Amino acid sequence: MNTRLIFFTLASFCAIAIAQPKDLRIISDDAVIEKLGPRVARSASPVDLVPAVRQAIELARQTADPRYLGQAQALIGPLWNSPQASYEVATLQATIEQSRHEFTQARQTLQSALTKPTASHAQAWLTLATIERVQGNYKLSEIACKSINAPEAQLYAQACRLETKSLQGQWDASRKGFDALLREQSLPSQKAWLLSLLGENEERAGNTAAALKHYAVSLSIDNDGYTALAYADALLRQNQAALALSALQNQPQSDAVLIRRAQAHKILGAPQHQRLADELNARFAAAAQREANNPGHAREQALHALYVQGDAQAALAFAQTNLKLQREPLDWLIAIQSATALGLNIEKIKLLHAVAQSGLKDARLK
Amino acid sequence: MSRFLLNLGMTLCIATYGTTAWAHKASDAYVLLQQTTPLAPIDAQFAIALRDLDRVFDKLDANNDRALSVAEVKAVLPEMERWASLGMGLRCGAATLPLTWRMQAFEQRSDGIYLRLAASSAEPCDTRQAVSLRYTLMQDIDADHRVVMSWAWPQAGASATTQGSSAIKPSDAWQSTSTPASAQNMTGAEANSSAFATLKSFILLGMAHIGSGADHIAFIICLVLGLTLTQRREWKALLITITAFTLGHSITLISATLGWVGSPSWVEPVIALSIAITAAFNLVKQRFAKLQASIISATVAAIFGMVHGLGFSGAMTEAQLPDGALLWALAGFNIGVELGQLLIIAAWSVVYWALHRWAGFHRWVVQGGSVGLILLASYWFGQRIGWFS
Repeated sequence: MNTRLIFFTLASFCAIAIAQPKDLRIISDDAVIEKLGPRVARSASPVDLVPAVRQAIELARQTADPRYLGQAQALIGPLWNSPQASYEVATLQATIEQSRHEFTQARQTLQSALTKPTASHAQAWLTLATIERVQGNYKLSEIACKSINAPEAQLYAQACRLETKSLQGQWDASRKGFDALLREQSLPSQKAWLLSLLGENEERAGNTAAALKHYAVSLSIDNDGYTALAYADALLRQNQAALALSALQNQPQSDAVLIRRAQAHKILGAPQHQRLADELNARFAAAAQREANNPGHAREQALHALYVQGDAQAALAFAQTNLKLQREPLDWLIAIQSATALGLNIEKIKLLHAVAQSGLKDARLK
Repeated sequence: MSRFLLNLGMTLCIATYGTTAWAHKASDAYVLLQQTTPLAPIDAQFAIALRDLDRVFDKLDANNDRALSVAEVKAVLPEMERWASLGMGLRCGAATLPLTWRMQAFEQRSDGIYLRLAASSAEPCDTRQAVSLRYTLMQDIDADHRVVMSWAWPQAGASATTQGSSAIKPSDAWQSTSTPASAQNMTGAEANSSAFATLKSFILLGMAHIGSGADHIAFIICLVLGLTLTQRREWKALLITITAFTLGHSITLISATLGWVGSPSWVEPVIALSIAITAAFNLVKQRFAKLQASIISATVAAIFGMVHGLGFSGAMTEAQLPDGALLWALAGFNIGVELGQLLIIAAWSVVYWALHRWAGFHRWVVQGGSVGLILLASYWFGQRIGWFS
């Protein structure tokens, strides 16, 4: 067993961070050469379809492996984009599209899902609200949040409204709201989730110390990948690279996680920085072979260019492409920091003006 | 498990995908077609991820420990080689070239370990004619699966090779290597830094700024609502009022851009308040002849213009470094603001000319409009100081 592990470590060590495929040297037939993710249950009947698709989507989120999304779409099969799809199936399709950053398609799918009969359209409204928020359409997001009227979804409806308000600068009101929701919740995963939303609220309000505290408590309850990234970013902005590394310790090796690790090692002056940068370049090169200029990767490419490669010119171009798709505070921040690094004041003014026009308020954006 | 799927009797996805980036890429396989010399048989390679094979062959991970050993792969190899042969076809011109796939190696790629198979077309191929691949694998397993097909043909009597690459979605169609790879259009942010371009883009920005802010539009309407546009004197008053507003707007905007003033938090509610006050002023000024003096309107407009200028200056505050184009940007922006205002006034004039002869005009349009604007502005005010949250 031990020799297997040693082999695996050696193999990955030798072969990592290369753009060109490299042949493995096989020492023994017992050598473990690949680790596999969990299996998705095969759906034998239409009754199994929804849980199977849901499981695949959930695995995609947990493992950060997009293969599960392709698998989820294959499971939906002919019901994909079909008028015959039920509300649940259409909503799951929208979630898959959303997770691939195909927001326009996801919005269309949700609009059709909202016309389908069901006990509650809460999930479709919630997903729609998220998409509108990610794209900086706060009024539309508010409308979607307010349309969630199922009694059992009230926590999500309220959190949805608070987050949208918080993005528009109502930090004190949102803080009060999140605090109240936190007092009512006993489920650890929900507490952790609300704490991460509260942490983001504090970051936007400029209360970094409070934000760091909320993220840390949230992660101690539930080591969620999204919160870990937010925490690492907040720490890296404070140059607390060692803490950022430990925050990401048990996260899957997504591009996003690797970028933050490389950034942290760069701040620490550690040699791993270059190895990680090479690996990221290899990943982006492989992704480009599949689809050149996929705007869905532009945020990560901008982060990589700015914080890992130190190439503000490339970062600004990627950040501008990304802003056509995603408009969360981080997306504006990369663009503004790139423009600042290049001394492009006009570009910076334009960006800050666009932020103001969108209604987003964030103490970090200046 | 936390935020994504939560059980509540029904299942809600608190999706945060917008922010979570995808790991490695989706599933790809690689086909490489080569020739040693022109008119030789084609050497083909096919690399597919072990993680993809695991999804096709349930028994691949025989001991179900979710890790693959070399022995486990080798045990299913004959089946996998057959699967590849059935799922892929190669044509040279119109002739189908039978391929028999055999394992060649395991290779490391950026997203994991791949099994590489190799095959050689028994017959020679003149690659000056179309070579095409039909690839049907993985379709029912992964809708995102693609095959990246690359080719390299030597050219007779030359050291150069013809090569290319394209990503193909699995289907029953034959994909030709001669299909030109889709042109990559780079969409970089081109920096046009000439003064004229800056001026132009900021004029547009200034107009957009006026046009997109409901509070700005409401304020301009307030300023013109009480004026009698059939009188030349009133037009003069209008121009003075609007220009005073632009001047006030420019003063704070420039001051903030140069870092002289900040953007305090009271600005947004005060903008709402200024609309309410100006609208109220429209209601009372009929009774006070003195208030009709254009100098008073202009002063009010200038003061409120300064507040409105601060409302935007927040965006400009930090970008204060000296820059040759900054002057042009500010000039352009203010010209744009003025032009935007004139457009709103032009639109109002059309409404005015259409309605001013109507007996109820003063009561319903001027007074009713002012009351409506007071209500709207009060609502904004409440919203901005957080009454409704």
